[in-house]
Amino acid sequence: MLLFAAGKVLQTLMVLLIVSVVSFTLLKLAPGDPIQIMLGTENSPEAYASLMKQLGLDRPMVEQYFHWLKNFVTGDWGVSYVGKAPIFQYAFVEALPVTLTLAASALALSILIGVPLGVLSATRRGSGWDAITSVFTLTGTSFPSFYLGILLIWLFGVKLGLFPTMGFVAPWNDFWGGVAHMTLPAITLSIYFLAMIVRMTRANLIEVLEQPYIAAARARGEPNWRVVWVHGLRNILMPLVTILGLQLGALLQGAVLTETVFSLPGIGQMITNAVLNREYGIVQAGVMITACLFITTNLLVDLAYPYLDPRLRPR
Amino acid sequence: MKPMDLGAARASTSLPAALGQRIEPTPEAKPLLKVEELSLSRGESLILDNVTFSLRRGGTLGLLGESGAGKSTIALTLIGLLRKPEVGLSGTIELDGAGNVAEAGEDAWLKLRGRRVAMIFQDASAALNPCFTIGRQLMTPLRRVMGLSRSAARARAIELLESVGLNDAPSRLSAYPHQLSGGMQQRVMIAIALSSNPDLLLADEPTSALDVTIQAQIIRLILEETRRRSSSCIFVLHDLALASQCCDDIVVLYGGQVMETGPSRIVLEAPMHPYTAALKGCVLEFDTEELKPLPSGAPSFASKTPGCRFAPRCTRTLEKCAASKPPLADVRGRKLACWNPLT
Amino acid sequence: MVDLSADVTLSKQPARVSAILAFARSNIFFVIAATVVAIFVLSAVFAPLVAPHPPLDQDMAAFMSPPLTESHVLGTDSFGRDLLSRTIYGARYALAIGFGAVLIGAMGGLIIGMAAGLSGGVTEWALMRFIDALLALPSLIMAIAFISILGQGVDKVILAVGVALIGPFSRTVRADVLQIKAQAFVEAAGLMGVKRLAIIWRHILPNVIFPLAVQATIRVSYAVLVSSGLSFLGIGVAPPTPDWGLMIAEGRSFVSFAPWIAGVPGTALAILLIALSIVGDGVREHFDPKLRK
Repeated sequence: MLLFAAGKVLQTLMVLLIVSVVSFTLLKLAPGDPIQIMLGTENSPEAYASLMKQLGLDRPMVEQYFHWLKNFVTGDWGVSYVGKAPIFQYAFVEALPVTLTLAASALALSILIGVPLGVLSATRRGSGWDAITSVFTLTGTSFPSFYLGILLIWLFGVKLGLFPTMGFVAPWNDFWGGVAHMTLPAITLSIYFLAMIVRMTRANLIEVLEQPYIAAARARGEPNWRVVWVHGLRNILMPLVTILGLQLGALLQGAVLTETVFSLPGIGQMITNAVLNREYGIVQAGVMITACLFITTNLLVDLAYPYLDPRLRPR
Repeated sequence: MKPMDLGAARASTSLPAALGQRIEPTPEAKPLLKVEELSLSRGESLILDNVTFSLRRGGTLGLLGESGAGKSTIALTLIGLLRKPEVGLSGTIELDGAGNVAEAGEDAWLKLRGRRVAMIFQDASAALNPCFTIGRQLMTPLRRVMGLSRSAARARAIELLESVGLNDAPSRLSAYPHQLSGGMQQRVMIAIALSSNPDLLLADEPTSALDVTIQAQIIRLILEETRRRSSSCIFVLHDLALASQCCDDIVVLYGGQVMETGPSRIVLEAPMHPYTAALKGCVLEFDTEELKPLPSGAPSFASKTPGCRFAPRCTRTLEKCAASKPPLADVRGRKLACWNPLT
Repeated sequence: MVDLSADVTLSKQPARVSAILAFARSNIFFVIAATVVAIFVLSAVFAPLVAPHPPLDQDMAAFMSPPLTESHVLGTDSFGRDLLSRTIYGARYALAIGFGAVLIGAMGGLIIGMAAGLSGGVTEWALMRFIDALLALPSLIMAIAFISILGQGVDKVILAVGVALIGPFSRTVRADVLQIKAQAFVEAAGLMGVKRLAIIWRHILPNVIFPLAVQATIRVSYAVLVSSGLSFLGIGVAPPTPDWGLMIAEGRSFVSFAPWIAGVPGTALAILLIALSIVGDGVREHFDPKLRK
């Protein structure tokens, strides 16, 4: 068991390494000369040479990479040209929590509503309810989230005036204010997942409920609600978690778009502004954070498998 | 104990007799189960057509037939897993003390399943939930149905596992189904099914998925344990030899219709229905010189076919066989539904 | 029983038509969706003929007019440009970018996926990790990263989204290659002495191309979504290109009093994506069970 986990961690580290190389290459490929930008008007051959030496940009590429990697791991991500603030502070401390709050709220919403909906639709196949949910799952998985956000702003913000449509309030500072500001963004982001979860839950539950062990449980006198919600649900956890792991990328992607729609100062907005301002250091920081998030969550999902399906445990 | 001899279809000592605990039927004793004119339809198909048989307390009954003859359907109906309105049901199923359960609703069945009626399934590896431990699957009914406390349930679970022949019971409790062999899984199923001392045990081809060497052990285990609890047992089988060994009475089914029914010794030693005789002719024994296979074909389940469903494949078919269904009549110690039986 | 012997010659033509009708009746949603997609494709191809106004034409007298204004059926935006025309031209950009990006992604994915599936040992393990790394970034974010290097513009968007799709495609190609490699006929070819390259070219490649084409059709809607997302963020195509994402972003500021500016392109995008989704599902259902299961 431990060997299995160790192997997975090793794989993950290797992938992270490759991502870092790609990321570093990206930075080096970016147009524009960082030294020139930093010197600005004070440019002169001597100042250029001395700054170059100071930043270590005259060293061979491989050495630069390891220097960069060491900096990255220790939290020294450089300084933003525009804001003159340390990037680490900006990205990790300020922007990341916003994105995580949004992602977590959306995920929680979609699971808490999606799973019961999926169960209901699986147990009432062919009914009008089922037809409505299948229309919903189809539209939900293909509807453009940024347009949906604007529709929600128009409906709930402009027409009904129920929720704030912009900005972020940290729930740990002001809980209800945070909830109010997070409601529309979380709903927008969750729709895709809701549809995906309902579809997956329904499909997997239908398959599970046809298995002999479900009939055996009924034959033992278990009431229908227990058969579905205890026996049935337990057996769809694994396919469900698999799907969620695969769709994590879509969650982060959707977060980027949703943050822009609702002006939330998260990673998404950070990266977008950085591209417009040619702040490649920030772009790179955003890319690395996203990749690390994605990879670590996938690792956790992989490690969770043996717990979810006893058949996968090593004997 | 005499070792089980599966090769001899004509053995005069059936296993129940060998166990020396044969319960002699008293004429006035009310049967535990009386199925009368049970018909089940799904959509356009008539899957069971006027099935009639009865089971006395402590007896064993075999439902014998080919695949698709409706044997499992009967078993599932007898435990209420096939009910109105998902299927069309007519006729009566009289369970002693519970009335006509063919009309029972889900609430009534919840009081019967796992308490008075229990079932073991064909493929034990598929019938045990792969995500729950053996212990949990065994103890849940003990706690919910019998109301035992956690520690009492655990003790009882260990007792049950040991009684079905599993050694090292405590560690088995924390094992998962996939960690046990097929035979062990089936023993667990038997333990779970018999934990509430049911009046009726339904065994749906309990040994079909097991090695031949294990089959005998499992059948003996089922018979011993049901005898000990004075439970009745209905076996669903397609193996004639097995049926003759372990069932007091037998119901021969074809295409959802009862062909012949009665004490297994009588029916199998001297079959009168062409189908029963044909089945017997298919059994391979040590002194078989020639196998006589049945002509090929499958029964039609269309609800409109009026006559005997075996008629298309029968070698003794008459014109009236396809036109009208022969009634089940008492003939020479058994019940027979045939216009042109063997003599 | 139907008497098939009668009127054979007479019944040939109607039989074909009735077969088509029968197909339509049982797959009504697929047919509707495919028709919708066809409408979009045709309007995109024949945009200059279909659109009532040139997309960049500004009619300042009628700026920000609501739908059903005279000569502007779907209204105008903040520059007085006809929304219907811009939406029709927008279909052009959306579909062109979508197909272009999928083409790039599929080709890149084919090369990497085949390499990963056919190699063994350390090379395979390394390529697998490389694919994992490619997949570690969601497509949009990877596209953003590439745009940051390449700059903005339609061709840059196609390239960026295309490269971002290489990861998902290489994963499916590799899975297909592994599955085909394991089949008996490949082993048989090897045993018969057919050279490795010939096996790849004649046996493996044809069996990979087909499911890849199926996957490509399914992924077009995803490519359209990502590219319009890029434009919405302001880092995709440059204004005044009539791109739906860009139009939605432009209309966002006016949502309180002129919601149609974002509404028209948004609805068009939503309809196209849903229709492509249904078509993709139908295609996958038809082909996948035979291929994969």
